[in-house]
Amino acid sequence: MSRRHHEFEEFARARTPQLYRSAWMLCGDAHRAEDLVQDTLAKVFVRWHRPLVGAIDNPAAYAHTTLVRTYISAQRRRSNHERPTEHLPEQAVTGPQHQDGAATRLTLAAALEELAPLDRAVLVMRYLDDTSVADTAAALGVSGQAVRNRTLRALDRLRAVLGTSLDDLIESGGS
Amino acid sequence: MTIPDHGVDLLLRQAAQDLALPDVDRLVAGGVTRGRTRRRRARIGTTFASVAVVGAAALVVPQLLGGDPQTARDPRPIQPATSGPTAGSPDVAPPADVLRPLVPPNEMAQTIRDVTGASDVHEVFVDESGKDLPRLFYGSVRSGFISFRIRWYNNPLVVEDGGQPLAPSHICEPAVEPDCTTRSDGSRLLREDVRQSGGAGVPPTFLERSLTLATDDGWQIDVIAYNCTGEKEGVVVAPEPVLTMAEMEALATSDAWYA
Repeated sequence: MSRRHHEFEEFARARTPQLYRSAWMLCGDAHRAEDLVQDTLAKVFVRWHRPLVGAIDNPAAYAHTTLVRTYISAQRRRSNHERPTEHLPEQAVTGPQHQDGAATRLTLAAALEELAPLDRAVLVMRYLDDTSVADTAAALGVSGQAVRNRTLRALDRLRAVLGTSLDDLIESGGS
Repeated sequence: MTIPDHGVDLLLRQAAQDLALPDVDRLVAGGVTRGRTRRRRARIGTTFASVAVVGAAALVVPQLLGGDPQTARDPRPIQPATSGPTAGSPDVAPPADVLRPLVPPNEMAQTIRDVTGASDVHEVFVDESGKDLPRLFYGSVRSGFISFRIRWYNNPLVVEDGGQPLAPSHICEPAVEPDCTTRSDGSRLLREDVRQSGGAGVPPTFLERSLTLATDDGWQIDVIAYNCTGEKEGVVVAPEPVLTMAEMEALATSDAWYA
């Protein structure tokens, strides 16, 4: 195994958990999230091994940008009729804390499902990945103002969908 | 902003934190396998493209050297051995040579003045590197502030870098966004009507209206009109943003920007 390949695998193992978390919040289910992460790693793999070009400046940011763009492209290609009517069961977890967490996650996923793909991407990049407005705008190919507008709109829609349960969800998720 | 940022931040983090993680090694192995497949396909595509070029040369060179004139008169166009991804492919940016070149910035500024009646239009940013091609203009219409930006958002730098180019229709989805429409030429138009400008320290009386057009050949045009003299600072000069949605649409969809 070449040194370059070994370095890629090390990077991929280290970043995959965070990529998967972002992917799950974008997709709303484990199977699509896994598929998205593998597609993302594949694209990063190709760039990582491209001859005659230097190393990626910021591999983590590059991978997250690729993840979000791949998600948006996939969403656009998906037929509206292909949307799942129910979620597949997640991996079993035990204990009341995990049950609370799973309930919070599924409620949040249902609320996020109400948002446009680009709005979901903006929320996940801004609030889960801690990406700045400028970097989010660059990654999504929109203006900083558009990112701010979409953030406001997405937050408003989440508030409308979640209603007064937002605070309860935060509390139960943290218990 | 009607809910505090830290509430959503916290909720997303909490929801993601105790997510049952899949087998990381399995995901990485799957990613590597898919990556190798993509590299093989890319190599095969390059090989076929080379074969097509060599094949075309094999037909043309004998003709130049006095070869079979029947072949030379054959009106059938030479087809490549394979047809590669087209500009319409969702994962592939349009090749640069199919994109329309932009008219010079001074002509664009004059057109913005003519179309909007703007008293003054400033070019704020023009990149002539040939890689990305943004043009950003700020202007004033009926004393109110406007911005106009045009750029090729499938930046070839991103494509060359192995990244995922954004497809022309990425800006919005008509199925889930009522203010999003697909035009007859396939381009997407996102109309965002009057709303508070928002942002830290921006007065609540600052309103804006915006429109974004994304074309099939990769151009994206954003127009934003305000009811005030500046984006973040200034005074309110009108009850509504100074351009109507119809005026902004006419501005964005004009062919005047392309040579």
